[in-house]
Amino acid sequence: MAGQTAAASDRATLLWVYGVVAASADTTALAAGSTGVDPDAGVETVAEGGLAAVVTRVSRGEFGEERLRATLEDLPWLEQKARAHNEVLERALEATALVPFRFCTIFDGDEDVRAMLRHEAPRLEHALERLAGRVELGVKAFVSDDLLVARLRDREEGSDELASATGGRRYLLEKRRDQAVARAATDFRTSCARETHSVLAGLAEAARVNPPRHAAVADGERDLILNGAYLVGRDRQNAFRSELRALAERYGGDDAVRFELTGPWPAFNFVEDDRGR
Amino acid sequence: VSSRDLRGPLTEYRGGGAALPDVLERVLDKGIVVAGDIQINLLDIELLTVKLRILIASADKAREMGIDWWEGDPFLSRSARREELEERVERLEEELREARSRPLEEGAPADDDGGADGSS
Repeated sequence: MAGQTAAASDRATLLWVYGVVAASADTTALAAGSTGVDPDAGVETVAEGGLAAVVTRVSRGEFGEERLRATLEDLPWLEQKARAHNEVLERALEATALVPFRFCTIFDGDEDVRAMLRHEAPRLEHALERLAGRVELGVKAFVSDDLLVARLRDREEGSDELASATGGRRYLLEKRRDQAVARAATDFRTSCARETHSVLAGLAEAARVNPPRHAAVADGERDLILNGAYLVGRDRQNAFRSELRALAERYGGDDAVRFELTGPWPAFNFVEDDRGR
Repeated sequence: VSSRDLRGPLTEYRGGGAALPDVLERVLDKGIVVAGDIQINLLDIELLTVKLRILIASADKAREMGIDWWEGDPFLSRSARREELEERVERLEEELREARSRPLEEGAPADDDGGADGSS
């Protein structure tokens, strides 16, 4: 419903919404320190009732619907805006609880933002309550297949009559060993990922496993076996980190497994509890 | 602050140091969805993320390699749970059908679970 015939000045007509905080939250640091999706415009809040939307006023020229469809395909533009969206929320998160909005949530004027806040108030307030005092941490585990296989093969080889065998018998024994190693490698991946997830989930208020989509990113030689997100109390972050360090020591001794911890993030993974996946 | 090479068993990235895929995965694909005036709607964004995935990652490599344990885990996946329930319902229906047809087979040789009618 964008039928307003409001002032048609190019600037200051659209509002990019990063997320929502309590209207009582301290957002002074936010306004001062953040760049936002439009460096010229800064970051401010639009309040209604008990809630305030964190916004940037953006130009219709750059953020109008048609233009946006085209620029979204522009990877450098997208990277810049995606990082800006996240950074504003990260900065706000330092001072207060917040509900992060999906990228590209844009409204046509202050009144439409207020209407959204009224309309969505129950859901947003519920989410704010749930997220208060908590942050999202991300954990990934990567396995090097080569190193894992080497580790498991050493183990298989030690006990064997393989060393003394020759010819066809040796060939068969080697084949059997390789099959056993392949099975053990699969089992290891599964159990390492599960165990890590269940230990970490035990320290979190909520936990979620995402499909390992970005498998090749961190290191082309490694496979991503766990892509987890954890909603952790601010006061339990250290416990979470040291537990993960212990897991990393346990699984990562010979470098076959590496772990990566990111965050604290705005709780992107924990605002839609009715998601099917 | 942080470069992207992983050394040692655990690497920690704090605020701002995260890699682009980590940011995009959250920003584009997660976060609460409300009806905005301008809706670059989810379909568009999802098409976009698919493209990005292809660009950034070797997309479904993990699945090819059989790393899909979360999909079949009733604890982790709702759809898996639904499948499990459907399976259970099917099994019960089958047992019911069997039970209904059983009286007709009285006197026939005991079935392979040893015969439940108590004759010895």
